[in-house]
Amino acid sequence: MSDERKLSYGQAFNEAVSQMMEADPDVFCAGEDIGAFGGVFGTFLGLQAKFGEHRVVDTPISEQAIVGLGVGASVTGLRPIVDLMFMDFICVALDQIVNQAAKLKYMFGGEASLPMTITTAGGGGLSAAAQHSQSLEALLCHIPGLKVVMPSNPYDMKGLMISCIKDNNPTVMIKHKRLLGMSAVVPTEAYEIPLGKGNILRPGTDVTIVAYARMANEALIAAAELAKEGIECEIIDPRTLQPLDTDLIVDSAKKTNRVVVVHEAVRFGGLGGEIASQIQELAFDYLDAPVTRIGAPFSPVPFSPALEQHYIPDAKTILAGVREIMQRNVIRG
Amino acid sequence: MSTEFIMPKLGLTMEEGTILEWLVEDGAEITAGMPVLRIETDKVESDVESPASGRFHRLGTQGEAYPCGALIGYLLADGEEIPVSKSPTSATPAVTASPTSSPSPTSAPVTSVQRQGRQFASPNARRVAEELGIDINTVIGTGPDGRVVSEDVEEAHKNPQALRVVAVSAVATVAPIMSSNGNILATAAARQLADLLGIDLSQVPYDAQDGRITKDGVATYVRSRLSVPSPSTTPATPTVQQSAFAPASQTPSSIKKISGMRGTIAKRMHSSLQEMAQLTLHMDADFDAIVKDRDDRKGAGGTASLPGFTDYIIAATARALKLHPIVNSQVTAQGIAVLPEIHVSLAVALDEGLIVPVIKNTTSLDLSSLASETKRLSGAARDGKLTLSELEGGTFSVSTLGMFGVDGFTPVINPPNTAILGVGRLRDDVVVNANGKVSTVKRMTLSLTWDHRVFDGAPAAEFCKSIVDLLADPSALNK
Repeated sequence: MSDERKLSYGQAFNEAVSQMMEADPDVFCAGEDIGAFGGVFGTFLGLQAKFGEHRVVDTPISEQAIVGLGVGASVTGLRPIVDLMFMDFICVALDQIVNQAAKLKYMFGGEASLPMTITTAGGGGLSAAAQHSQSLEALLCHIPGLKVVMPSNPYDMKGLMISCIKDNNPTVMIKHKRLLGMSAVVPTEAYEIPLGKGNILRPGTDVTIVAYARMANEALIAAAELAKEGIECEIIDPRTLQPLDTDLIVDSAKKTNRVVVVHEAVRFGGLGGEIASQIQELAFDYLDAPVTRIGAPFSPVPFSPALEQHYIPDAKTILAGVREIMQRNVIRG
Repeated sequence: MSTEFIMPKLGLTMEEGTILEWLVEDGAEITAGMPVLRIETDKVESDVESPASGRFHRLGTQGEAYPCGALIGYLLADGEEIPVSKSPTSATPAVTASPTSSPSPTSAPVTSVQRQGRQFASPNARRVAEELGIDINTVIGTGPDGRVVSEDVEEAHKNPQALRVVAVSAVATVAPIMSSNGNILATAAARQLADLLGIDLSQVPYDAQDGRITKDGVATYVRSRLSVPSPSTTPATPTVQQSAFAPASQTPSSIKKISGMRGTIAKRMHSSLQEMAQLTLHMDADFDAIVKDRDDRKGAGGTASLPGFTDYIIAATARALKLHPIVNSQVTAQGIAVLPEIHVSLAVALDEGLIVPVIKNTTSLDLSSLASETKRLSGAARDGKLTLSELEGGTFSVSTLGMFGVDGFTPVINPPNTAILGVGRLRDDVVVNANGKVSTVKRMTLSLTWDHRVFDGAPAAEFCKSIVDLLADPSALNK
């Protein structure tokens, strides 16, 4: 296979799981309809045929039980991948995630380890309505003991998923539903992208845009447009939201003096507030403008496609935000 | 509570005082009523007493002048510390450090524009300004809401001259910006303030940032019109505008500060000439009758109350003022105020300047009493013992240079008077009588300077003629 081989975001996920299951017999998957059906988004396609029913387990419809299974299996030595069909459903399993998975290593004095990966699908854009479209990453990032990952492209997806599986702590891999079909060159061999390390998607000098998952791609579109106006955006994709690569963001803020943070989640209480806060704490004297936060309005995700399109930030929203932060009333003649 | 000790205001016209001497040590315990320091004003020396008891902390420097109300010390209670960040405001203008990148010293001084109120600047702009040594208040902000951003500071650093010129022209542009319906664009607050103060908005520079007149703009305009700095924020006005002076062409052998009495004279004479329409006429007065009257008095004995020639002139002037009330006047905001009481003041030369004590109710005095009064006042003036009440309230001044051989000169009006009389030397003139006989006569030239805004040449000449007529009949001066 050549280096030019392209995979979709969903296939990159699938390949990462497959390669890790080949490499480590302790790795197994469990979730709703991931077996014969291959998952509701097809991300587990073909894995049960390849590894059998014992390693790719179809579970009953009980998110609490699915995550509980992962906690028990991981603490007793296996390396489970447990899938929650929609990110919205983590709410059903929050006791297992927050009170068990995230706490056990601490409560056992470090003696227990939970090499478990929770995979789920987040974000809107599919007209899946208010209970199947949310971006709840900020909830998870608030919990000490969890690592939260949100890749923005196929390459990052494979590398980050492998790192999640190999990590000896509970990790949450959030696939963005609208990126599943995104195609890009992905190496065939297994590789890791370290958790907690962000990525400069596009270098620039005038303004920093911090964006992850689908919003990183929207930021790239906006940046291309802004470059025509002479505004060079530096796009930082943190990739891992917890732990967050604060150094990378702060260094960029010091360089460009202006920062726009973008996420699909509701603006109020979103991760943008944390990032803006880190920047003002660590780079206050380098700011030429308040950090701009772009996020969804304080409302459930609408079902109507027209409303949903209006609700979710996109390249246009980012363009407007950047222009505003860059605004100067030049009066010199 | 620490008590602030300020430069007192001892009279209506006192604007600053010089600390001649501290009478208590720094840190001394003092009681209420204790003299703390001796100050010199434009007119007198005076001891200043403490209003309260406590430990005294000196702030002012001996020999320095401070505006009235300036903090010069503290009275502290037991265990109290001096409040921080207070320093006395000296009357001498502070030397403002010029920016490191200032234009070459030969170029004309450029006024920097200070925004009133809080200057909004991004944290990064403040950091960059500090690094580059730029005063952020001189930088025009182009960021959102007029905030100064780092690019503005960098541009100001690269091209300080250009920026400031733009800044000056931008803020000082007077041509008002009109709205589509022909109104001058101004904020509601600006309109309210302008209405309150009766300011014509078309005269007020607009804010280049806002594109309309702001409240700050109105305030700045009013301040510039008053040319009085706001007392709390600005250092005291320099006694004389110093910015326009050329440097000394030689190394000076000494420099005398234009402060204290010198400063007052400089300021008042300069503003007198600037503000009034002054002109001078000369008229001769025959003094034969006065010389005779004086010789008669001398013969009668008692030199103590023997009037001098100047006394005769003061007496004649006071009576002429009664006949010409318009001369005994003062220009006020309401108009020309004719003053009912006549208080002629007399310029007395001192080593370091001159002082003008007032002969109160001059017309009520006969020549002997007048003579004693002028003698007393000039003696007190030379001894520095005049009180402020003896220096205030003059309505007309008389100034004598005759003892130096001067005939005519152009005295400068002592504000707020509207006229002053200059007195020349007593001399012998050769005159030809009506019948062709040549004789000599004692004469003196009078120089009347008046404010043409108040009255014209003819009434001025008539007033002077009245003095001359009165001097011809000394008996009239004793009434």
